[in-house]
Amino acid sequence: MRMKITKNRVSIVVLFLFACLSLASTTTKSYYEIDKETGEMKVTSEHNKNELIKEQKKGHFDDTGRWSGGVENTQPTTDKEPTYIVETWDEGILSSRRHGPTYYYDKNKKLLYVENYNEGRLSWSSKPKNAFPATALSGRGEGADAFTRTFLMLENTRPWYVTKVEKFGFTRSELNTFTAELEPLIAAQHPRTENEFIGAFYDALEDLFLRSEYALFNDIFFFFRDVEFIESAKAFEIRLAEMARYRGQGASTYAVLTASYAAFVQKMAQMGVDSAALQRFTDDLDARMIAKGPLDITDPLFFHTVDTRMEEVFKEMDQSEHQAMFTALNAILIDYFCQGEPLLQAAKDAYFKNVPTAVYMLLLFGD
Amino acid sequence: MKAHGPLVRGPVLILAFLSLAMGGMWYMALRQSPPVFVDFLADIGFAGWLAAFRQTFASFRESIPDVLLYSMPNALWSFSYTLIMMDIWWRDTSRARFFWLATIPVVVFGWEGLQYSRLAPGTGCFEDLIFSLLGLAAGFFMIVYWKRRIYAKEDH
Repeated sequence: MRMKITKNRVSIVVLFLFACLSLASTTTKSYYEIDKETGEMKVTSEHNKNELIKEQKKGHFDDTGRWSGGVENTQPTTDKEPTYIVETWDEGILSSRRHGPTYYYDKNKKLLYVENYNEGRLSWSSKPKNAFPATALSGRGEGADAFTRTFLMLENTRPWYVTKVEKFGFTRSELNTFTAELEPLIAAQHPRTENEFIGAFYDALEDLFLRSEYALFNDIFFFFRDVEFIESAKAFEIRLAEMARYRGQGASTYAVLTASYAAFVQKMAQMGVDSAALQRFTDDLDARMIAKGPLDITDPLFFHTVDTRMEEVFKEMDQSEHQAMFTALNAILIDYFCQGEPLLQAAKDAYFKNVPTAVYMLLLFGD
Repeated sequence: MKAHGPLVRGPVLILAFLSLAMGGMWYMALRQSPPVFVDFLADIGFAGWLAAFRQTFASFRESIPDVLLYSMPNALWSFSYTLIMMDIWWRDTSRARFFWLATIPVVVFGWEGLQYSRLAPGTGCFEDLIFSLLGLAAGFFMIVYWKRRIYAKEDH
């Protein structure tokens, strides 16, 4: 009898252990693979809190891990079109932004329409304009029965975002309704500067995300913010300088920064980090990176290893030793978060370009 | 009256543990996408060790077909779970054994099914299912073989 009880107990423990292992071995982030035949990079992003979404991008990275040139983007196959997109990203000039034509195909690879981007913003599109209802074009009405300024700004400058949000099951109409609720909440706080606007935007978001009907968009918003943040932050000068140091382009990260990123050094000085503090920080960073072992600069995932190690080092560093530097870093990171947040950018542009709706739509659509 | 043998036989326990450990190391050494437990190890101070470990296997990673790279841990872990549960319950006469033996396919395929139906995190796919089945079958046949050939001696 005692043996049976023991067997049951041991079995429960084994089952529990395997359940924990199964959960601990799931992967929920973006990951990289290299196509052995073409040498292309394949990045798969998954999001599976509410539902599984898998997006694959395939193309070439520059030597710092930024998309460069044509990028094939295969999105989850749903009944919504399109599912296959070929994007063009800038080639090392900008900070990993869409720059050039983006081709949208249906699941049979039939071309649906083309959008052209200039430094991350839409410059023209062959998508039929009759996608917009007459109420919005005529400028009559405000709120969810017509398109809001924020939604129009989003759809006319960063339509890829609207397309992606739809992939997650949050429709254009729902997104428009969301922005119709967002705009008055921001306006009620009367932000006058960009920083005040960012605060007002996130306060308003917090209020809206408390509501159950926006639970899905809450997930989508933060997922994309993180994805876009990772892309924007690839232009972070300390990251680029650290990689250059590994490649032997400077004796230290500080030496690379002063030689190649003088504007960044100047910006840090304006933020209260003098040269001595910056050098102390980067020397500490270099020492900790070196202590983690050598890196193979010919490895195609070299940039990814540097990113991972830098993230670890930033966590390990004593913030009190580099207080001014970490304060400045926080501000820079917030800046990257904001740059990579299309909804915030659209809401900001719409808010500060406070012109009558009819004129505004004329500006957006032309005549 | 015959004395009870150990709950799980030594060789079975060793094999199950090795298989489990190999599955874990497969993730640590070869997968581009570190799973949650690898992140956890890095967070508690093993980041440097993990990086060196991964570097050691970097060239090996290139030569492994994708299907093995992604689905092998499923086979190893289902093999391990099958071994332990079968060894505990195979010769038991109680009704509880039906329940515990049934957990083998339920856990192995149920987890994949939940992933496939998007109810659990992860990416359920056909290859994972096949490898899980292979692991389960290997565990099953190994225990049956042992019980018949080696442990049968104990009954005499």
